[in-house]
Amino acid sequence: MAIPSTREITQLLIAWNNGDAAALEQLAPLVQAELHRLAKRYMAGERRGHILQTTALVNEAFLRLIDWQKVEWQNRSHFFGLAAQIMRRILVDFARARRREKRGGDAPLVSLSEAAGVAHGQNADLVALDDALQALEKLDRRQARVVELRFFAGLSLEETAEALKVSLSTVRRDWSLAEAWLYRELSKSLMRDK
Amino acid sequence: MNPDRWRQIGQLYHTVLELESAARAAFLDATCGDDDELRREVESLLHAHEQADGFIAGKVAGVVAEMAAQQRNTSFVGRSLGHYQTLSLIGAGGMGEVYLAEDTRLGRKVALKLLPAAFTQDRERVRRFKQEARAASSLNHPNILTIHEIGEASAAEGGAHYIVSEFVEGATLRSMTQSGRLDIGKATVIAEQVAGALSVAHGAGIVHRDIKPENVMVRPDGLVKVLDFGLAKLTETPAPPADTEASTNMSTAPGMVMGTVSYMSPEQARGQKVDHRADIFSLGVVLYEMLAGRRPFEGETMSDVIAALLTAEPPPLRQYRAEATAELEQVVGKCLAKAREARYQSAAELIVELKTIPPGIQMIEATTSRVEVTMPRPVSWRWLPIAATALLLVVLLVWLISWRRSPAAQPDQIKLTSQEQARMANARPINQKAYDDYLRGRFYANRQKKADNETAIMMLERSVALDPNFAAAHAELAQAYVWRFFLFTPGEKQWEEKAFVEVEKALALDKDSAVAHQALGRLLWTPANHFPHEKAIKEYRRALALDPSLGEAQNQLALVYNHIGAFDQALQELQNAVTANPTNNLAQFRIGETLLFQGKYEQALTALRKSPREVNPPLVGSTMAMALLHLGRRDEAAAIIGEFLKDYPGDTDVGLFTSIQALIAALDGRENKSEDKIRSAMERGKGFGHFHHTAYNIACAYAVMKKAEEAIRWLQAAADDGFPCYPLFENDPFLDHLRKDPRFIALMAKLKEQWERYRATL
Repeated sequence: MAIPSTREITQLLIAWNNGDAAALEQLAPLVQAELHRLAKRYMAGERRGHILQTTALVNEAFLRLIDWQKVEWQNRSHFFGLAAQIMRRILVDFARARRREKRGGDAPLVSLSEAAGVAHGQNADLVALDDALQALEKLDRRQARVVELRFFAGLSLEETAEALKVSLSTVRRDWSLAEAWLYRELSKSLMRDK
Repeated sequence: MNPDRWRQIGQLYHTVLELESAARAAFLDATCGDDDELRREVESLLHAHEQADGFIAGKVAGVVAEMAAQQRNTSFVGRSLGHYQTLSLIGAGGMGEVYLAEDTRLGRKVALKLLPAAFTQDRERVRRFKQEARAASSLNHPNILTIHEIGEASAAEGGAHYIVSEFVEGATLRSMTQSGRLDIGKATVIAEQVAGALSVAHGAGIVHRDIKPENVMVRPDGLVKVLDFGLAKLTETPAPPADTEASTNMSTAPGMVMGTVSYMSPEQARGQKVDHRADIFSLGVVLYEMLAGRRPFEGETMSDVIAALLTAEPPPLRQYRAEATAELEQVVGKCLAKAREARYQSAAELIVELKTIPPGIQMIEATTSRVEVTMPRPVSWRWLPIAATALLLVVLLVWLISWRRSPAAQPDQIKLTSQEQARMANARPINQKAYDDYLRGRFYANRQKKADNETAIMMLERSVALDPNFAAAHAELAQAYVWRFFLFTPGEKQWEEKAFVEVEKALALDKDSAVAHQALGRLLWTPANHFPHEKAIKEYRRALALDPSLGEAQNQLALVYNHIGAFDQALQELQNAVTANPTNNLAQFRIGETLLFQGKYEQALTALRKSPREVNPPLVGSTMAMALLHLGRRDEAAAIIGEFLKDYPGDTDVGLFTSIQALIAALDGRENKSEDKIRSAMERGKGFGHFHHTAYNIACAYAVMKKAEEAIRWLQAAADDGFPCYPLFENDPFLDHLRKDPRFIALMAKLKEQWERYRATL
């Protein structure tokens, strides 16, 4: 596969933003490839659960892929919003596939995830998180977006506020409630699984 | 549930959250009325809120990590690169994947790191990296990972660049901090060792630039190895010219290694030119993280972290670590100063300060007056009553300050360790005259010359006569007696007995006398006792735990390590000793000895030339002669020996020197002369109060003359007599003629087993 230029990727992102659903199909594997490459560099040995990793990873993946000179600065937060959706999709698809693999039974645990210090439970959790997030979208779309931006694009509270064009205190409130709700829902789903 | 209901729940949730917890129940009673479901919803959310902190981030990061890990299936395992065969993947980091590999030529296990192609495109950078990595490795510091080779695979093999280094079994500091905070003692010892590595690297003009927990390995025996010196040369972006606005836009700077932002110094974050003080900052971050279980500058995004490290003060350690003392805060804080001028100006300075931090500190509550009664607070020395231990401390501290370059250090800033505080509490009035004699005697006690030793004994005997309950003087006197019989008059048994008596007196008066334990270590470690290495190690470690600045105990510990072939540990002890006290000439000398045993003859010679001969002329002379012999410089070696025999005709070390003459004669092919010298060496006594080095030299002489049976017999004698130095025997070229002999092979197998046992228990 020929590696597309940053200009092409930027164009795809703009096209997708303008409503071209097919553009996302082209974008996702490109971003995923870049993500893999970067993830390999950053994740191994890093402290698990540390926010910085994911954030740095996402930031850099997109910094590399997208020609920011071509993007107006005020749109940048907006693009991170798109990035968050791509990230969410990639990670959840991956987690879902891995979960299927394990439930399949005969698939050997080929990954060296022990070396990276990763618990296998994470995959199930992320799928559950995605389900919960979808449920939250139905109750309050903005709260779900806050979670998405914060954790799949690594935006700070301030950046999230800017991306959603709402006040910082609103983001704080949304965030507090959404996190509590997700935590509760996930605790429930965990009980069900066991 | 529908969106309206959710909005209602949400509003109530926020309102209740702002109330004091005591007021919440009443408020919910009033607001929810009969709507039990509403109340349950809000309460369960509030409960979740309290527990939820940060949980989502963990899930996302975990999956990203697993995704990365999965990619490694397409790895390099089982392939060969040059004469290396990769066996398994042992790690992957920002700078490539690391494999356990076998060096098929030498049959040894090594670590092989494949560098990502992205970093090796620029030949000039690769060249600079190689130069620096080699330079750091060649420093031969036990805390710096040894690099065997930096290679480039052939085009057929993929053309990758790789680094082959010693294989270190152990854990990265990253994985250690993952499982929680470290003990204060453990953390400071690790930091000290990293600082030791930095100190010598900085001395050679090498800045690491990427100190972080991933780059610090800790072996099961506690020895620290700092990895990846020079590697930053491959990734760094050139510093901007000095006159440009330094604060470049970090988030878009190309090639930035973002994973390490947390450990960056402010000047690195600004893209300014860095010097060795950047490493001191990064080490400060690592130390903080080990102690607090979190980093000093945190943020949810990279730019938050950078902003924090440029502007924010780290939260006080005590916030995360109740038992962190003011001095610990101070040390960490000084490493983390924004302005590099305000940090420690050298890693050596930092080591000295780290050594003053006691391993286990009891929590001191500042508010209660009760504590003051049971535990004396750190006080300015001026206010102390004249007391023996206090004075001893002042001497120590003044010495510390005098070479600690900070001119601002004031006596009233001095903090005492809890040990010292405890001793102060036991302070008692002393006899001024006895104290004066003690100080003078102590000055001479560790100078390894016979006349000085006699002076020390005289002074210290007078001191204990004037004040029979003076523990420190008894301990020093014991040490002086030890030297007397060990170095100067091995034939006179009474000195050994006197030494035992004094050790017992000292320990009876003060069971925590570090010097007494040090003397006891040496007292046990004698030919008559068959050199009980483990017992001696235990006493020296005890002494060092009680007083980490006891350079003599470090020297002694290293000496024992050298005898059992634990060269890494020896070098570590010695480097620490020299760093803490650059005038510790004996440690300086012993570094040379260790290098000689390691087969690094040129370096040994350089180190020995640096150590003043008057430390212990026969010791320095004989070691230097051996290094010269290994380098084929027989005339120079013979000259040193001749000179010594002329200067010290009746010395106890004549036997040792004669054995070296036997070796020289053997190397010259003059067998009869060699046999004569061997006989004479056997007759003329035991060098340094014991015989195993002489025995070893005789074994070498016989081996050179291809007289295998005698050689092996003498080698066995050396080993049995306290010198089971397996790695030396294994590598010494003088023994090469023996290597195919089955008796030699059997002996070596036995010694290896013993050596491995030592290593496992050290």
